[in-house]
Amino acid sequence: MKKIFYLIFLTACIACEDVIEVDLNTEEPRVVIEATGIQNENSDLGIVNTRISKTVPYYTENIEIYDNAEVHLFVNDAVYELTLEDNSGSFTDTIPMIYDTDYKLEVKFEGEIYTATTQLYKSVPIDYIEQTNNAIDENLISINAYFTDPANEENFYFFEFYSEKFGGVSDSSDDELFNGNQISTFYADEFEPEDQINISIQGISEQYENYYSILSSQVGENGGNPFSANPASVRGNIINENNPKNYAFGYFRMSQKYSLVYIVE
Amino acid sequence: MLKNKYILLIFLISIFSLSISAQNTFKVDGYIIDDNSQLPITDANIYIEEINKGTTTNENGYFSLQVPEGTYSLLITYIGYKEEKKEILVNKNYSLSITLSSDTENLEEVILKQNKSAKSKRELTMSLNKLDAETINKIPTVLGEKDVIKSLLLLPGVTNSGEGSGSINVRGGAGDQNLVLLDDAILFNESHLFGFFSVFNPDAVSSLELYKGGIPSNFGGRASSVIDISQKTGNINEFKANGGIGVVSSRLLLEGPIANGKSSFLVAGRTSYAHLFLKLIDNPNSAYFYDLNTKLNFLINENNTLSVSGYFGRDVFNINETFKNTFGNALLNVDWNHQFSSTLNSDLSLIYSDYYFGLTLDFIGFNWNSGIDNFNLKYQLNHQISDHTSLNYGLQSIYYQINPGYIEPSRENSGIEQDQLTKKYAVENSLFIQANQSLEKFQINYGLRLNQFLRLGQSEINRYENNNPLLFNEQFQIYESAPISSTYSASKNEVIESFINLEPRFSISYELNENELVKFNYQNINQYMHLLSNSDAPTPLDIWTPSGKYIQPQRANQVSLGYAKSYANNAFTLETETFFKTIKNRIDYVDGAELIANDAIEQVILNGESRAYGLELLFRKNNGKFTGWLAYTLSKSEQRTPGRTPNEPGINNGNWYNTGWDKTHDISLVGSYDYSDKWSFNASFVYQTGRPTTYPLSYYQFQGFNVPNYGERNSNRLPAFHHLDISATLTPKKNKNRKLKTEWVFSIYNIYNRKNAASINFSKNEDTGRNEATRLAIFGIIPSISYNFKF
Repeated sequence: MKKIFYLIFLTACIACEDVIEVDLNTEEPRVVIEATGIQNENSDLGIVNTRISKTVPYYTENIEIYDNAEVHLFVNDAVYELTLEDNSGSFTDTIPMIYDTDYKLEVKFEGEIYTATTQLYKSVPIDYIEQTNNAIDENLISINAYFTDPANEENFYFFEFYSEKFGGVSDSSDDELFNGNQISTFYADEFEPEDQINISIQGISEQYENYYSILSSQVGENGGNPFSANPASVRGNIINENNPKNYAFGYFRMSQKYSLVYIVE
Repeated sequence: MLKNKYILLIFLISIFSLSISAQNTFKVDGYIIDDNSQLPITDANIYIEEINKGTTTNENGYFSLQVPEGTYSLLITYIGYKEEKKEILVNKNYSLSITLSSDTENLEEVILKQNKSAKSKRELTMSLNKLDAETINKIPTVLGEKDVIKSLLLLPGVTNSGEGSGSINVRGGAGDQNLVLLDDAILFNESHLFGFFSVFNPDAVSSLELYKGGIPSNFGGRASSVIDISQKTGNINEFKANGGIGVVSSRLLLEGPIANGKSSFLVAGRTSYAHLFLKLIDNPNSAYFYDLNTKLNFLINENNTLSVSGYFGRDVFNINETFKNTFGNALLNVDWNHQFSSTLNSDLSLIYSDYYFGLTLDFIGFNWNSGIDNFNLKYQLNHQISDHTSLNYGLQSIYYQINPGYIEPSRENSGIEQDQLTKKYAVENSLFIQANQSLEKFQINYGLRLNQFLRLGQSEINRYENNNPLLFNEQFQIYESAPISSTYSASKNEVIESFINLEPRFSISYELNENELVKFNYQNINQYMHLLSNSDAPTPLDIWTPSGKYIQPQRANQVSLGYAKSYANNAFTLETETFFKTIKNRIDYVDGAELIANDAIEQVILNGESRAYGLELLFRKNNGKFTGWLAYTLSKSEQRTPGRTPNEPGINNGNWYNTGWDKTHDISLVGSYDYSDKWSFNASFVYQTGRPTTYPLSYYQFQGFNVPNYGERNSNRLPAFHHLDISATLTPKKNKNRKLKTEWVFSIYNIYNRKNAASINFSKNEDTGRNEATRLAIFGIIPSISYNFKF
């Protein structure tokens, strides 16, 4: 809700924004591990992707991806070794998708062992898409994706919209306000007919929802507006087994995903 | 301990000295009355030049002085009124009644007094602690909107978290630690348009008092300051009107008798222009605010006055019926003043106050409203015991009802579930007594306030395992909400938590000589109501919450020590004060806490403390063609939120960190030059250390984002904040010979177009893909013009 306030606030004030130089302090680099396993609909197998990088000074342009690691995934009694994809720098493997089971990720990197444990979280299908003119700004087209939240359980969702033209946007939500109902998530931009939009809904854990909402409130336009909460360093679920203080940033999650492609009319 | 003994000694001396009364003296006493309203004037100054002796009137407008036999000239002054001089021959007890008429040269009569506690010592402090309306009127402001609250920012010890911030911070206190009263009614949000303007129509305000320290015991409930605002009373003899047309809003005030000489009315309205800022968007939308002030006053007979005052204000935003937002205050006060005798007077007030916030987001089918209302009964007796001593005592009872949020679908096909967040109820009872003694060289005020705060039952009270609503995950080193193990209900008539506190207050001033004065004060205040806000600038949708099982009352202690001196027959005055304040039980929020629509706020808070200390200087030039002041504050405001066990980091590892409004240096320079009868010029300059904020130390990529990795909370600062504003007031010559008085005010805010950073945002530039720091500057150079009239 505060985001909307910020928009009004910006419009209301005779504001101007400009880019300035700010001297920043720096710190020792910290390892960042981004690991995501995706089950497409009800498929028995899914792909796990892991990418290893480090924090860099704020104005550094390029981020180096590290491939000098060993990555394993433990599921029940099985062990899977993730292998390096040729050009992307990601470690990846195809593994079975099982609910109510712990998946443990282990990354050996620069002499330290990082681990994270999670389970697979289910999602729901997209019922239908509705295209409307945006009510606030008529130049925008809103794409509303309807889905039905299961009753009698707490669910957490991760939404992604991707178009060639505008790139990707994502959002997360709990079902507190609409438990058991059909509801829509929407994305508005300057779309034109024939534009192709990939829309997906993924199931996530409550912890990841918390993590992601703090993270997303600190990136992009949201960070640092006068109504936003104090920004802070955001810790994910990755532990350093050797030296807990040297934990890694990032997150390991496993999600079921429903997606479809929509062509703008 | 030693210090306490000294204070006790001073007490004793002062009490004994009461019994020593001079011989061969006579009593001169009487009333000072406002010509327009026929109401007594409080705090008017009575001064006898020949013997350098003076006093001020009490709430009845009554004063009394002991003088030796002789002929005297009595000088009666009160800001905003013409001074009166009266020659009297005293050879027996002498009683008189004097009527003061308002200074009609002034279009505005708002009186702003800083720290009333120090008012009493005649000329010296009288001029030190008051800013008159004329000054407020002339201070250049953004878009020419006069603003009584924003004028306070030019005084030492008062700051805020930047342009467009609605609340003020007094002596390092938080925005929710100010008791803001409009005709004794408690206001829970004092800003229009997210803080650009305050809710007080300057025309309808008769006086404003800011207590930064030495808060008398008849006030309580907020830890840092009292801003006591009184509405004007209508003219009882003739019909009058005044108003103004500005760039942002127009104002109109009407006042006059209902029954001549017996009763009066006052109605003041103000409205901003619709589509105020949003006309740039090509859509049917509007954004505006309005407020309405009313006051009815009935002089029932010599001893009884009844007044009814009301306020209603709203901000409205509407974008294409899709986004609708309305918020504002409604207040009603019925006040009965009864005079038992010339020395005993009583005041009974029944007050209702309500703050409402409503929001509709039709595009997701969401409707929200929240608010707080309270019923407040106050009965106070003002008792003049002797020439030197007066007592104020009474009781107050406030019933609070808080709606933290009601959610419903805004249309039939909406998927939003209806939900009422648990309403909360509480009662705050207080008994208070305050003694004020004026002795030869001493002025002493001491009081006690006894509070009882009762948190009442509600429908859902959460229980947690081990009574711990906030868990610390040692593995990930983060705080997590504990699961609610069960809930229970308690009746609204049942007390589920109670607090009792006794608050001592004390202030003393001592006149070293005619031109020098020292003062000391101490106050202890408990705050039971808390504004839940984890941003630096409070927003209109922030929710108030009462103390209870999980949130303890904030306990503030403050000492301050001051010295004042006047030079060159009061042409210049200097006031300095130092203060030290500690506040226990100041909560802060764990990283990423979501406060809106949170029915279990205890899951995201940690208990901590805050402290502030500083030095204030105020140097004024009081008369002549050129008047003005220089205010300087050197201060520190910080807080600490340690972990509950040694394994927990708390916030910033339990170290002290700056509050979001800590400004090391704060300088205001205000000048006014009366060039001629026709033209006067004003300028003000403000310089402040940039407010604390948090910058990133590094960044990383995650899910396609460039994620800044932020350092410790509030460990950086925005660039320094400063601006220079000027204004010119034109009073046409033809005013002199006619009833209609007019004036034009031309002003330029931020004349050198400083881009003061309200915030700095760190994000990736979508076009270049590079990280950058973006400054948001709210007000650049802003010229404006306004027209005021009166007849």
